Amino acid sequence: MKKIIYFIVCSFLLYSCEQELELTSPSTLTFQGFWDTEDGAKGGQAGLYTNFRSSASIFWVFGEVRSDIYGGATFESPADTRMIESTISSTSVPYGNWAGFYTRIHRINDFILNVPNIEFSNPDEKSHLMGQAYGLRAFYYYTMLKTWGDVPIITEPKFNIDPSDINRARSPKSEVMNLIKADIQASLTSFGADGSYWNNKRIYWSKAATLALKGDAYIWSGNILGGGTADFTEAKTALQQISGLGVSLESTFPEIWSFSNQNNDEFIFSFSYEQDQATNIYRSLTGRGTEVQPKFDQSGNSMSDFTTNGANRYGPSEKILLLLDDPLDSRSTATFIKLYQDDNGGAGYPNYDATAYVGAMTNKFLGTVTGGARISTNNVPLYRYADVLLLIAEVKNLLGEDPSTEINTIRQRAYGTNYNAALHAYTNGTKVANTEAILEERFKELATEGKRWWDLRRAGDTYVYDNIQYISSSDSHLLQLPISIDMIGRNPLLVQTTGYAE
Amino acid sequence: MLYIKQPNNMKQTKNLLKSILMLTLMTLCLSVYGQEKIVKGKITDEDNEPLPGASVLVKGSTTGSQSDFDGNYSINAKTGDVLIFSYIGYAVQEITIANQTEINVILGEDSSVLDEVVLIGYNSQSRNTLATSVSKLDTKILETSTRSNAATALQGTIAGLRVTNNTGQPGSTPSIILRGGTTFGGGGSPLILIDGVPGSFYALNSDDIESMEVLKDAASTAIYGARAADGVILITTKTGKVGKSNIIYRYRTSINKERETPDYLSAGDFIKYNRQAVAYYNEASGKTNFNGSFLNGPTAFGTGNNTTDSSFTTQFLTDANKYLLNFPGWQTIADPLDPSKQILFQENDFSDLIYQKSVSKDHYLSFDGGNEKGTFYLGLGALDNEGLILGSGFKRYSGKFTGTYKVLDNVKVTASVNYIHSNLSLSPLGSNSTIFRRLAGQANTNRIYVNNPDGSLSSTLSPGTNSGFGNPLYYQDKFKRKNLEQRLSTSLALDWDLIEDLRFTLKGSHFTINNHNESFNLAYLSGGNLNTSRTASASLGRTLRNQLTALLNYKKTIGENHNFNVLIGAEYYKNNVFGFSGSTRNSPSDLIQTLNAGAEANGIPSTYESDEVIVSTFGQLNYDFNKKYLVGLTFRRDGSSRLGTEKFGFFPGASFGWNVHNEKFFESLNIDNVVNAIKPRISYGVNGKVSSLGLYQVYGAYGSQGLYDGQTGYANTGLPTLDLLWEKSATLNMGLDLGLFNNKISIIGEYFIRDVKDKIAGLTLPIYTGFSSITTNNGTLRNKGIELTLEANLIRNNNLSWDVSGTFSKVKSYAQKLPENDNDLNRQSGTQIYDPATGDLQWVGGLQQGKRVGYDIVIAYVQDYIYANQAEVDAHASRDDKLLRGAKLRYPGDVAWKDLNNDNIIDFKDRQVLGRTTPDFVGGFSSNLTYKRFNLYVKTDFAVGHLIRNNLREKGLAQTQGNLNQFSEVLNSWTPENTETNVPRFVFVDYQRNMSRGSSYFWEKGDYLALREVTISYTLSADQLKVKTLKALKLYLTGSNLHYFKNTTTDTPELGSFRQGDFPLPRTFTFGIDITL
Repeated sequence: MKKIIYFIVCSFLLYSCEQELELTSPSTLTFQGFWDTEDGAKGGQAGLYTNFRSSASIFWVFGEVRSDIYGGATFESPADTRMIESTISSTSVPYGNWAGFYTRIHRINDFILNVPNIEFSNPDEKSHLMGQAYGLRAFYYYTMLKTWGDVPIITEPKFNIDPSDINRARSPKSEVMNLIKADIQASLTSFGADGSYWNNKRIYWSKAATLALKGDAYIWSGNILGGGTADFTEAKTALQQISGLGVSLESTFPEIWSFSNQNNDEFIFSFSYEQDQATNIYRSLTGRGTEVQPKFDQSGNSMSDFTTNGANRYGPSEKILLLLDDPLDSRSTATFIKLYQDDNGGAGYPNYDATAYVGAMTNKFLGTVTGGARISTNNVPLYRYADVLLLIAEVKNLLGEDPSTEINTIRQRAYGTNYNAALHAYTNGTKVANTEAILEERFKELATEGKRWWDLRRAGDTYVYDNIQYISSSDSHLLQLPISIDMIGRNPLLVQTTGYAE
Repeated sequence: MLYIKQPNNMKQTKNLLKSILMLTLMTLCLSVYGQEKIVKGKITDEDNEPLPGASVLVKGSTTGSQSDFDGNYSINAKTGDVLIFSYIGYAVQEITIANQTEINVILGEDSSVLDEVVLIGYNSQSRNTLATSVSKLDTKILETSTRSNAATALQGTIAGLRVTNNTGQPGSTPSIILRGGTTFGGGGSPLILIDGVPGSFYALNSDDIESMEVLKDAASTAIYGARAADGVILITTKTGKVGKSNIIYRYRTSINKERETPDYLSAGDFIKYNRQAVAYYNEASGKTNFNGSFLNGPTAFGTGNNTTDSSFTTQFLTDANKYLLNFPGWQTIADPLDPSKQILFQENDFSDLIYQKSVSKDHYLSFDGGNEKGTFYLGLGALDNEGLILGSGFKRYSGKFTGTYKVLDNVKVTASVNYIHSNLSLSPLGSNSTIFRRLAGQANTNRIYVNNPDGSLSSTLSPGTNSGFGNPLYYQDKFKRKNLEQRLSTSLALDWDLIEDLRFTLKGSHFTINNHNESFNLAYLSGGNLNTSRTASASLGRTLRNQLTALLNYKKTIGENHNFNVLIGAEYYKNNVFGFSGSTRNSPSDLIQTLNAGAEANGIPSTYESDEVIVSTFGQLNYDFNKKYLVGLTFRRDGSSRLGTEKFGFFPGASFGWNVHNEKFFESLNIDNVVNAIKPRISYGVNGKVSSLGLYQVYGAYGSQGLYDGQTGYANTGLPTLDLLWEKSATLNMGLDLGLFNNKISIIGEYFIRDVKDKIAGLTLPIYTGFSSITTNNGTLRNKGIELTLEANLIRNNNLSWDVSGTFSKVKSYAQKLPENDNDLNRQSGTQIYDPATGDLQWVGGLQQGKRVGYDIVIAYVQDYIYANQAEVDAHASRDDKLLRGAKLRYPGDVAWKDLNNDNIIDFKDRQVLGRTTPDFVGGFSSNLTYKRFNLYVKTDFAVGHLIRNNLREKGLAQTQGNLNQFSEVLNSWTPENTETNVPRFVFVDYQRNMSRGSSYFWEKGDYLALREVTISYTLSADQLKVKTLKALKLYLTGSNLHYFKNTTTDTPELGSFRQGDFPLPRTFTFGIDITL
């Protein structure tokens, strides 16, 4: 009653009752106090990784789907045909709005701006977090550089919006590469001597991950942006440090992909997938039971009891099926489950048979069955040691050194007990021959892991034209993606990617 | 002359005035001369109730009289005189005196909109002293047909209000947009006040509603300030009336009928066209990657199916399976790719499986009554409305009580309770798109029941591909969904007449919503596997809303002509929302469907809470001088918790009107036989709006990003905008009320300009900022429009009356002002196309200063013609099509696109603006014909000018799903035999992008006229009924949503833009009976 009387009196006197309007949100975090404590920093860290994981499918499409690995038979209408066949123009712009990467970068910038001001009970944790953040930012910018070439450089979060001073132009590739190199350096400086993995898990960025990225990016810088030997040397040094950080090859190839062995030592960084948290994209490389179950695998086993709950929208190309068509190579069956119309009288099809073949499912990322449905929760590596070894082979070749040791290490594991050096070992050849051997080895070793397109690009434009039927040297602009009219409409300082009609 | 001493109180003044009046009347009576007789009689209403105080006047004289308490009157008049009988709220009647001395008159309720009493917010006013823009619903529409949501009655009945029924789901609330909305996207819902308490139409029983008024211009809505920018709908529920007691029982029963389903291909044609489509795909792509799955696999037109239980039935005819031809539905067709082979299949009509038998029952019982001390009203309702789609429906039980009592001579208390208990059942089969586009759009080669090995049908349902694309009959009982919502609205009001003419009112209200949802998935077959995750989920949503209002109202007439009505008030509003949800999985059994049987948590249980507070002070002054000059002034000052540093806003309103017909000079014009009422009016007012702003949005946000390694991640999801200003919409409204031929025809016209300043909207940002837009004060939105309401009483006599009415409204929106940026016209967003006028590129869409808002424009590639033959293809041999996979690879049957800029390249520039997805104008007509005891009521509504793209049609013709059926339009598609057509050839997954590039061919004109309701009723009065206790009986038959006059292929022409499957309104036939005791 008191309150009512107070209310009536104050209202009639036009008194503001202002204090009634001061509310704080019970359930949402606002700007006030978010970055005040260590807990905020850790919530922000988990945010960086959920976001990074959300971009994983885009990294995969950018890194592989544009290459010669897909375009084969699918049970359902194929996805991303525009990327597979490079039917790209300023009219048909895939992944507009910079594929959402700047939202991620804004949040990393926010993290990098605020975390240094937080007091940690263990200062080493803070350094490790900063090493992770710089590493992630370098990875995003590296992906953008490879995808669009020139992109705007933004290193601070923009909190105050002034419409009259909001537009930003694309920075030249060289400046973007300088930023990537600076961030890699900042990451390594932050990690210092700390080669540990956060929570002992390789689902967080680490010094080893930054070194792998460094090797990768410096090869690009040396080979594509003209940095030459200086960059290659940096790359080699970085890559060779990784084995000292608890990283090694798994003993057999199928063991890498065992669902129970997701925390293996070969993975340097992998995206974490768990039920109730997130599932990976490889669901789209399995299939629906109605189509899969009437089929047979290459060994002639019926798939009728195979539980699946997915889609079949990316079909491996005949090229990759033929490359892996070697029953002695464990990668042949560990990469894809090939499906056939029949069981060939019980014999199956140990070798690829084009007439009976109807489609394939991934075998690297099959996920697991729970409650009668398949869920795709394999962790997915972004860098693993086999990748690093072949990058070392690559940089050695670029420096004029013999890359065969690394190539053969990979082959030996792939063939296992079937390995016959006389048949399977690689011997050093010309620079071109080496390049081709490394490309092929990476193709077979890393198929479906989102690498092939970048491998071809990193080797040089001619390797793209030679391998991708949809892109010729007269269409070099297709190596980079265009930007959409809407992006220019929002920010008139942006110019279209070179070679695309304005 | 009498000298009057200064009166010492108000009562004396009133008595004095009364005496003067009586004296005057007596004098008038005395001044009448001879040869007159006394005419007597009784004045009653249509229900035979006496009308006390009705006036009787001899036309052309000053002679007048009034009826007494029993409705009896007497007056001196001559034979041949015309007597005018009138009573407020009733139609005026003129009767010429013949030889009789007794004339009994029944006055019918006046339906002239110009005299009706309307609620204006915290107060009521007769329309003839009103200068603002207020519309009142003719509540006749509420009396018939089963209405699971009362707002559906507003469609086409209120000028300026665009009401769109979005779905045929029973219980759902249509979208309501006033005067084009106050967002750049054309949205914004009016404030709904139920007896002054903010609420919604959902679950409200239409039988409880006495009246609905819509406040449209800002001068009228300013009294509701901060929440009223999108207009205000005032709903008044029924209350008891003094001197009348009634028991009323209503019963309605309805059956719902499906609308025309799209005309899909038969199974044989489906197989033929789709197999050919794959061949076309293979030819164009140089690939055969679909052969394994779609031509030869176990798919809708593939031949890899079996004789018993595969999802589909197609297979090559062999000696082993030809026995199936002995069973119903099994047929063959030659394989178009190899005519030497026959394809065996079973034709099953799939598109109808989503429907269920749908009947509704609606009971309503009310008791009301009252005397000088108090009144009461009790209404009880029970509605069971089954939906047309499997598992859909709505049940509602409602109880409403309102009682008033005069505790003291000058103190009245009013208490009101309204409790509604409802169950909303959405179809468990999935979203409307899943049901209408996917489930109903499946090919007729699907298997419904598994075949026994001998070929006969078993009773086992075939599940089909999976739950999102399977057999509705199998899945209908696999997903249990339960909803219960309780709504309780209570209020207590105190009216205290402090002194004569001054009333203090205090009203407190409490409104609660408790919404419970439960769901459980039984074990079900999907894609050949038994899914046993048995997810069980529960959620609770709770709203607590309190409002306290205090008012002081002073009504006074000073002198004879100065009428004042002054109101001042204060209000406090608090809204609290709480939500809880949790889920478990891997329950061992289908038998227990609650969470407790689950083996583990499914996701993270969660609760959420938020608060909002608004404090307000407001005032209103209405003044008229002798009902000629009308002035209304209003203000409201609102403080909202949503804003940062600027929490308070001030919202004034003013209106002026002039009743020209009450002027002396008007009489001298001698046109009152034609124009009997004419009132120009003008108003200006300001409203606020902060609802486009999230509750705590100004503080910025760090939002949850989901879990990583078991940790909840947070990231910056919103920027802080503490200095955001109130969005203020200022409306200038000009209106004209016209009464013609003695109010036989009434016209209310409005023209308005509404400027929404400091529009709180998303400012589009460059993407590098990490945000696509920021909510800020983003310029000025302007709406301009006209509205017309017309009502004509064409026939009025004792046996026959016929009224027609119509509404019409048109509104356009402009980006009047935008914040400065680097773009021409400070453009935000939009796209570029060729401009034939300049030969250059132009920006269209988005926002451009001074131009119409471009968010609803339709831009498409223009289909010129279909290449009939190779020669026509060759004519364009050098043309590049940037959307094709092979830029120059074209075939006969593909679309020849218009090369608008003649550069021989088809690209984004060759798009054209085709129109808009919102209508140019909307409205409705209704007709009400009464002959003796029969009544025929017809209501229509229409919208013109909006474009619709039907994805059911386009997705099928593009066949990007693989197993989806096509509209029969494919039969007219290009084939080598059918070359003169405008339907492109049918290519699998639309490889040549003849369809799925945004083609002009798929944009359909949405113009429609809906025959919304036809009711025929028959009323029996007390004297016709032999039973004493029965006062009246009414029987009626109603047809709702009977027919659309339209050209679209969708069954929902009200809905513009891109349609991916909608639940259309069923055709409903209702029988009803009203019994009054």
